[in-house]
Amino acid sequence: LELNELLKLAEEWARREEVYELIKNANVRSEERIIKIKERFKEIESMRREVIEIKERVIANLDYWVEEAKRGLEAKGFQVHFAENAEDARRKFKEIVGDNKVMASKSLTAWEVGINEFENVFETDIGMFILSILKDSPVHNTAPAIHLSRRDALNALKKIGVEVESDDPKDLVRAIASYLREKYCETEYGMVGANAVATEGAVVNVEGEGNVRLVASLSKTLIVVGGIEKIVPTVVDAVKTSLIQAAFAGRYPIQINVIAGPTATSDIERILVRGAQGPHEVHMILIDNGRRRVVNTSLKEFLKCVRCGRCLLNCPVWQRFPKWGEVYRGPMGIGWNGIVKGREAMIVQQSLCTRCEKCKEVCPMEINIVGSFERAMLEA
Amino acid sequence: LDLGRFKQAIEEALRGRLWEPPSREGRPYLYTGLIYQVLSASSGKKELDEYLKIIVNKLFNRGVGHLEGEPYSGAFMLELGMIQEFKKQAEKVVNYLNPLGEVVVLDPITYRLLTTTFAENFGLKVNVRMYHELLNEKPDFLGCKLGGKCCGGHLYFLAPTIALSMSKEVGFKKGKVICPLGWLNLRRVSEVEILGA
Repeated sequence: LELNELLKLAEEWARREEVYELIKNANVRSEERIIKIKERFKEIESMRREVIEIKERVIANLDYWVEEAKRGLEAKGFQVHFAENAEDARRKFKEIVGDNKVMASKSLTAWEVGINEFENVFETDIGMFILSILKDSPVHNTAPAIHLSRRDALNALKKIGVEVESDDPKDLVRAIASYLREKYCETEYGMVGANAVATEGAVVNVEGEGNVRLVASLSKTLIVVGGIEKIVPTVVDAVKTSLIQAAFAGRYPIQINVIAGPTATSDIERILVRGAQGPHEVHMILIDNGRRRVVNTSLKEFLKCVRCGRCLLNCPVWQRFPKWGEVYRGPMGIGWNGIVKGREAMIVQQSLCTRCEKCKEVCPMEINIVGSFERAMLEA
Repeated sequence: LDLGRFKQAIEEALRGRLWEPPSREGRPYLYTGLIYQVLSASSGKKELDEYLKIIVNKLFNRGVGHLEGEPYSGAFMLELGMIQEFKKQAEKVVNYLNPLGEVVVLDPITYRLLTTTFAENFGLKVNVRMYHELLNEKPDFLGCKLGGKCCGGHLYFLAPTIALSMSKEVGFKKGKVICPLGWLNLRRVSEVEILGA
């Protein structure tokens, strides 16, 4: 987008007061949950600090940890593919799945590289599923359809002929879950994202809906898509990182899914058979797409982001313009679009930042969002 | 509201003649950063000029030094993507201000620019104070750059509808503010005056 186009779009969204009301109310609910979580689970604070240290250690030596991850994942039976850029990631994904239908759990990294645009990719996250029917795009990391109302969800379901008793969110969720349940068994291919990738050979995801586990368990061929900034040394580090994401997205404790390569059993005569009831093949597409390019710039700060999306919810601009940013939205999106889309995208997006720094106040990774993108703009 | 006029005002401010800074006299100097000149692209020009005159006279009466031919601060150049021009201007401003020891600014946007962007990236070392500290008056609304709520003034020229929505959300009905841009924006929904004027 050019600056003028962005400003025009901002004005259009700002006039949609009903969207602002939806987001404002969601923010209040989310903030209340996060405050309660932090009060009740005192370990979160020390874990948060630990995750900052882990992330900084990995980013400081990213090339080394990428190699470690490759080695560790392969040792556990993952087929590791390294994608330099978005096109590379799409090509590798297509080579693995061909035209087969792929059940996908929400992955903003898959969205970043355009994997979700393939017609054979079928969204299973409830928010992403509604968006896919409406040909709409996600606006938030953990709540992708937060700008849509229950009425919008109902209309989406009508479009595909799904009967719903009412527009009560409970009825809508049940109808969607029931519709999706049948779809899981129509294919043997699945795709999940990665909250964290442990170099010990595992991928960790947190989830609320249960769709990640369904995808990860019911697929015979599972593809994991993850940016290289998600790499952490150990499985324990990966769990901690994922839990921090969940806690600051307002969900804790939460379901955790650990994928440690293809399933296996040695129940018969203790002979190891790879490929049991879950995936027989697990592919890990590790994506660079600009990440390594920024490790010596101020944008490296953004590589610490755990994608909880709290900075978006706390941002007065994003609340009124939820599509602020082309791939990644809101405050974190300024830096992240600088990483994955390039400098010009970042410069255009930051034009709407008021420099109020409400984002910095709530970031669990203590990212100096405004300071970092301003410094990055001045570096070139 | 006219983005074109706003950009034009910035370009005019950039063309302003730069005078030599006075020798340091151990007193603070008023550095407006020409913010009022840039904001004169708005419909509130006449009132802003009046406010400015009153505040400036009060500050001069309290011994604040005058800077003739001061450089434009570069406010909003980053937002508008004028990166290279901003860098040149920032260096000019820092070289100009550093020998002065202490400056007083008239708005939180210039305050943040000096204390954060210039201090962290261009080596600005002067002590920066907001003008209301010298007038011993307290504003009724601080604004986000000084730790308060965000009133949306920053987006008054770039995204007026977002700015208006934010001004409503603040819930501020009547009182004194310290930011001319906050004043421009909040006056659409509140009875506001600029503190000290």
